[in-house]
Amino acid sequence: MELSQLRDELDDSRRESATLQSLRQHYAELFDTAPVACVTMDLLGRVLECNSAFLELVGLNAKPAADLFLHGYCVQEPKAGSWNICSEPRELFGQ
Amino acid sequence: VTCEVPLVVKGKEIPVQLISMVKGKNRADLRVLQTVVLDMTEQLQAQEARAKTQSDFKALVDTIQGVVWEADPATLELTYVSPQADRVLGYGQAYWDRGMTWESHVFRDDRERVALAMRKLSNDRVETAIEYRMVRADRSVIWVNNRMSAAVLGNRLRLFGVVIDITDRKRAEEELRMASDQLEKRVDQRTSELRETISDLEAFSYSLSHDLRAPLRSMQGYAQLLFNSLNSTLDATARMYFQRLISSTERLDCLVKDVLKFTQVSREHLELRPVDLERVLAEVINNYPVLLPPSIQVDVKKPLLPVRGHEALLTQCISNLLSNAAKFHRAGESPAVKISTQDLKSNKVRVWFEDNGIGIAPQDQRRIFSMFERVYGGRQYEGTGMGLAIVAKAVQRMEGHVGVESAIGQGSKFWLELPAPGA
Repeated sequence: MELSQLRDELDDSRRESATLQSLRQHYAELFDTAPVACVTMDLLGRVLECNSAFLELVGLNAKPAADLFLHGYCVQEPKAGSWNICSEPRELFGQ
Repeated sequence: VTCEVPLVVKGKEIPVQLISMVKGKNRADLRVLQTVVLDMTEQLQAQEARAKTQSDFKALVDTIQGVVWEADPATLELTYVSPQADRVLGYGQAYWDRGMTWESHVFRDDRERVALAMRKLSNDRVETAIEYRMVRADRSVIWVNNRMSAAVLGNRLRLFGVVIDITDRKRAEEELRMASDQLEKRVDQRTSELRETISDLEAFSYSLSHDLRAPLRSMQGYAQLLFNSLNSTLDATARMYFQRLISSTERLDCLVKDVLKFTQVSREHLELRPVDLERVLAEVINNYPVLLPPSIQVDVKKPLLPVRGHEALLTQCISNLLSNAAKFHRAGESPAVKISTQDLKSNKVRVWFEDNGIGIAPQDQRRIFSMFERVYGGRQYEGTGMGLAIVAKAVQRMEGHVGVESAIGQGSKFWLELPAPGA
C-alpha cells in the first residue's frame, strides 16, 4: 500500500514537473518572441537574461559569453529625477 | 520605475525608456531587476513632427492678413487670437490673454447682430460670414468681414473666426453708391429736361403742321378755282403749270396730314387693353375700299391670336401695312397679302403681314421705319415716307417691336410683335 502510494506520488510529481517544464518553455518562448526588448539584470547591472528584441536593439546576434552590462551602452546620465537603474542599481536599493 | 536615457549602439544614439520591476517585497530580498527596454525613436520622431506641424501652422496663421480667433461657445471668451490683431485692432497678444470676449470689441450698434450670429453658429454649426464694425484700441471704427465656423475638438465645441479689415472696400462702396446716386439724380434731371424739350418740340410741330394746313388748303382751292375759270384761255404750258401747282399742294397736304398723324400717335394718351385682332382687321378692310379686291387680296389665317394694345393705333398700323402691300406690287401681278399670328411663348404675339410685292433690299430694311425715308420714289410709288414711321412709332407706344424679312422681287414679311393680353 505504501509502495503504491509512493508510486502515485512519484507519478504526480513527474506530471507536475512535466507541466512546469512545459510552462517554463512556454514563457521562455513568450519572453524571447516578445516585440519589446526585455532584460533581467542583477544588482551590478549585469544582464542575466535577454530576449531577441533586446539583442536586435543593441546590434547583437546572440548573447555574448562575456558579461554584458546595460550601462555599458549608456554615455550620459539619465534625465534628472529619473531612477538610475543602468549604472548603480545596488546603491539605489541601498545594498 | 522608469527612466529615459539614450543608448549608444555602434556609434548611433537610440533613445530608450527603461521600465523596471523588482521581485520581492523587501529591499533585502532584491536580487534581480526585470527591465523592459522601449525603443522611443519613432515616438520622439512623431513628437518632433507634431511640434514642427504646430510651428508651421502657427507661422501660417501669423501670415494670414486677418485675425484668426478661437472662442468658447458657452462664455464667448477668446481662447486664441492671432498676432495680426495687433495690426488690425491695435491690441497686442498680452491684451487678449486676459480673457477678453470678441463681442465687447464690436461697435455698439452691431453688437446684438454679432452676438446673435455667434449664438446661431453655436447651435447650427453652419459656417457663416458677417460684416460689422469694430472699435480699435485708438477708438477709431473699422469695418470687418468675419467668416466663422464651429467644430468639435477633443470632445469640446469651439468657435473659430477669421476677421479681415474691409474698411477700404466699404469706403469705396460708399463713394460708389454716392456717385451712383448723384449720377442717377443727374440722369433723372436730364431726362426730365429732355422730355420737356421733346414735348415742346412735338407741340410746336403739331401746331406748325396744323396751322400750315389752312393756308395750304386755301392755296389749293384758289389754284383749282383759277384753273377752272382760266382753263379755256390757257395754253398747254400754262395748263401744265397749273396741274403741277395743284398736285404739289395736294402732296404737301398729304405730307402735313401724315406729320400730324405721326405727332398724334406720339402724343396720344394710351391705355393698353386686350384687342380682338380679327374684328379690328375686318373693320379696317371693310372701311377702306382700296383694301378690297380687286385692289388687293387679303387672306387671313384664322384664328388670329388677340393682343394687348390700343385699338386706334393698331387700326393705323394695319391700314398702313395693307396700303403699302397694295401699293408696292410687282408689275402685272395682283397684290395679295396673308395675315397670321404666332405665339412666341414669352407673353408676346407676332402678327405677320406677308405680301407678294417688289420686296426690300437688306440694306434698306432698317431705314424704311424712319421718317421721310422712301426706298422707291417717283410717280410709280407715290408717298410721303411717313407710313412705316407711323407704324414703328405706334408699335413702340404699344410696348412692341416691328420688323421685316424681305428680298428684292420676293415679297416682304412685315411683323408686329405685341404683348399678349395676359402680359
